[in-house]
Amino acid sequence: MKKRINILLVILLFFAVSCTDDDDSNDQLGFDRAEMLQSLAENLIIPNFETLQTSVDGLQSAVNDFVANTDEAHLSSVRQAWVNAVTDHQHCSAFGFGPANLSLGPYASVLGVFPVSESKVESAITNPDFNLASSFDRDLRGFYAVEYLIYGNGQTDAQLIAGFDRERKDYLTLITDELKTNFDNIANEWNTAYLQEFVASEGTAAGSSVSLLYNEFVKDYENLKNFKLELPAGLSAGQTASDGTLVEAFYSGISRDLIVEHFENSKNIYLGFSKGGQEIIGFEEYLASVEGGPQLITTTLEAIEQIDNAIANLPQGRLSDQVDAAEVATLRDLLQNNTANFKSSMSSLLGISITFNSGDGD
Amino acid sequence: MSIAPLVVFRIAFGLVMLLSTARYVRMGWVDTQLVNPVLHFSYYGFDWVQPLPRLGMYAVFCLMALSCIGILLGWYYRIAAILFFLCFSYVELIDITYYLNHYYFVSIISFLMIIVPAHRYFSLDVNRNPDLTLLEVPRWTIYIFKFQIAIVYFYAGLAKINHDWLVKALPLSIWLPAKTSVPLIGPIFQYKTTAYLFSWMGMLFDTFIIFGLMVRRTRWLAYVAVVIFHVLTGILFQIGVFPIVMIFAVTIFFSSAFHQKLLDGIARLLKGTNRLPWNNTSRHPLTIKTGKWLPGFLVLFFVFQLVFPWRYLLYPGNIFWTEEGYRFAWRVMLMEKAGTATFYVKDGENGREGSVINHQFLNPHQEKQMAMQPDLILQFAHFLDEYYRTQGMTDPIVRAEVLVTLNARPARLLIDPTVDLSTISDTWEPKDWITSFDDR
Repeated sequence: MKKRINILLVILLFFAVSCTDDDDSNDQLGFDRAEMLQSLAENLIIPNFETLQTSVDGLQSAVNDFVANTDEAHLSSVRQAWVNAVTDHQHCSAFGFGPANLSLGPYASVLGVFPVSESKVESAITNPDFNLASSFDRDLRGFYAVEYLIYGNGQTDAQLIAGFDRERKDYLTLITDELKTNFDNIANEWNTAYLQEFVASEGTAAGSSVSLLYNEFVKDYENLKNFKLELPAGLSAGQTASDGTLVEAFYSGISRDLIVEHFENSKNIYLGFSKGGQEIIGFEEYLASVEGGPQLITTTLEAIEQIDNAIANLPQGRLSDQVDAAEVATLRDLLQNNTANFKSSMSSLLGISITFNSGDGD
Repeated sequence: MSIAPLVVFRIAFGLVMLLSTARYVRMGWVDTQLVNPVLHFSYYGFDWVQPLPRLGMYAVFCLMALSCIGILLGWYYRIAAILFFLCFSYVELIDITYYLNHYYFVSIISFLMIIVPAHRYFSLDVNRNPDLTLLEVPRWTIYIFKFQIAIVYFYAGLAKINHDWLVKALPLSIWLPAKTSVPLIGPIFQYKTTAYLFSWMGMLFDTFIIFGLMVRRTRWLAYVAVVIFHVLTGILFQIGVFPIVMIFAVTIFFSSAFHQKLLDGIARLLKGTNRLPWNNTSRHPLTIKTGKWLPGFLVLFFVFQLVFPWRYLLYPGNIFWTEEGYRFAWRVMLMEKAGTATFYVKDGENGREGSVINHQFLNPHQEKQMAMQPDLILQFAHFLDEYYRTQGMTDPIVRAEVLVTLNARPARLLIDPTVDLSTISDTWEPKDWITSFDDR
């Protein structure tokens, strides 16, 4: 028995020696994840949340002014403030972890929900016992409920303003205040304790910062495809027709602009850019350091370029009127084709746990 | 042969399983893995195994914990062993996406526990009825466990003798650099050399450790290796209680004298004395009564254990790619594989095709497992077929674009994206709709 083992051992060792000096001249596969976390946090995540905090603050003052002076001029400025805030929201929606993970879930799945339920909003306005804090409904609050109130659905501005009674004003104030409270809190926590906590957790296990950042990045990317394009275009299984009312920002009609901004932020995280275009460390740099990474980067960059072109080709004007356009389906398909690059291939190469607390491996 | 090793094995097994059961419940997995999911993926031929409602599932876990205590204390042992085997295997069979080799191992061991008299010494059963006491047991009662453990290690070692593992140090070249933040030893994982070293050591360890454990001279050394190996893998990978299970299970290779000393030690700890009521000499003959069927059954059982893992040879194609015959063969931590599966459902009547948002039906773990395993892709396609029928579609056509990356290779289509999966049924036959895997 022993002899046979020895023979086997010798064969195996020979095999090892003869094969291991491979083409890999670079022995080092290391990458400083803490540095990437710090770079992304300080140059992208925190500045973006601070910008959002400022624009939500602006929205709140505009709402207060509008409530005090309900006229067309103030309506126009409250709308402009809302556009600023919801645009900045696109640059934060992928960061729904840490302080941005609210008790009901990542903030975008609570305060960034569309389509809004008009009937729920209307009944909350007239119900004197309605309590926003204890409500679990996501489709009567947040950015798009504000949008519904300040743009209305088909009314003229004059009609809209005439309809702003006390209760309606109170509700607008209520849901704007909720935004303000939350984004003050998120920016504040990032600027105090959370940054340090975020950078310190530099592993790749479930619950680590890398895994949180990555998982939210992928979810946010899939949300762009699923909810901003696929569902309105009627390209989801079981749908019998498109439905323009399902687009994001249906009332204001700025859906297309928000899609542009949304993908801009996905790219910033992946390629490593600040919102202002300054080069920082993102997932691309991380990928470049691992086995099979460079090849995946090439594939992904090609896909990103195609998506950029498809976004540029989206029809101008209200997306809700053009959800059947071929360009919408094309963009959906290209985003879909790139999903494997962002989702399974990247997490596989980086060794990131994609499931949290769902079991053991072996 | 002394009963002591068997008794220690019983106590250790009961204890580890009790901890494991408690951990499972504490992690909230009864809800997240068993109760909450919209659908469960079945084992082939076991689609009749379904989860109970929430309360029922928790009752099963209570029963399981209770049976662990029964095994641990040797308290109504036979009933406890049968109960544990049934409860554990039931839970295991609910959803194949949670398949783990070590769950299978636990099922096998708990099954073997039923047929051995592990409660006839140092147990509450003996305390109650001293006539049950047995100091000597037939060899087979201990050797079946040794043999089973030998199969696990040896087969796990053989599985590692493949090109990717040994020549490319994959998947460890992927997994180890992700672990550089492990305290103390973390920095060494950034080197490719470390991945090679670990790959080769892992293969040699799994293949040969059993021989080291069998020989008395090398046993302690081998055991130290076992502990180091499992502690290390336990730190590096998210593998739960598996390292503890093996560290305890392997003690069965130690001598009777060692185990007797261990039991005496436990007894002293518990009672402060060595004189125990159940420590009296046996008034029973060496052989215990066993059914005539037992030898034949055990031979069949182990022939199955030895042969079943090789079934993959009957399938064409690369086993890592097709996974036909992959499970129940001690292929542990062997590859890094991940996929993204997009399902398209076409209404056969109006020709309108739409894609599926998988996470509407699956939790992240289920989605991840499904997206790289052809048989699970097929199961999900069948679920979708049925689901959209109930939604009013008369003839759903279900196809899937599944892009899979295996050991850092660029992602490729795993299955034919044009084939209507709703018309295909799962069988033991090779799945000709899986694409072929060539390494170029």
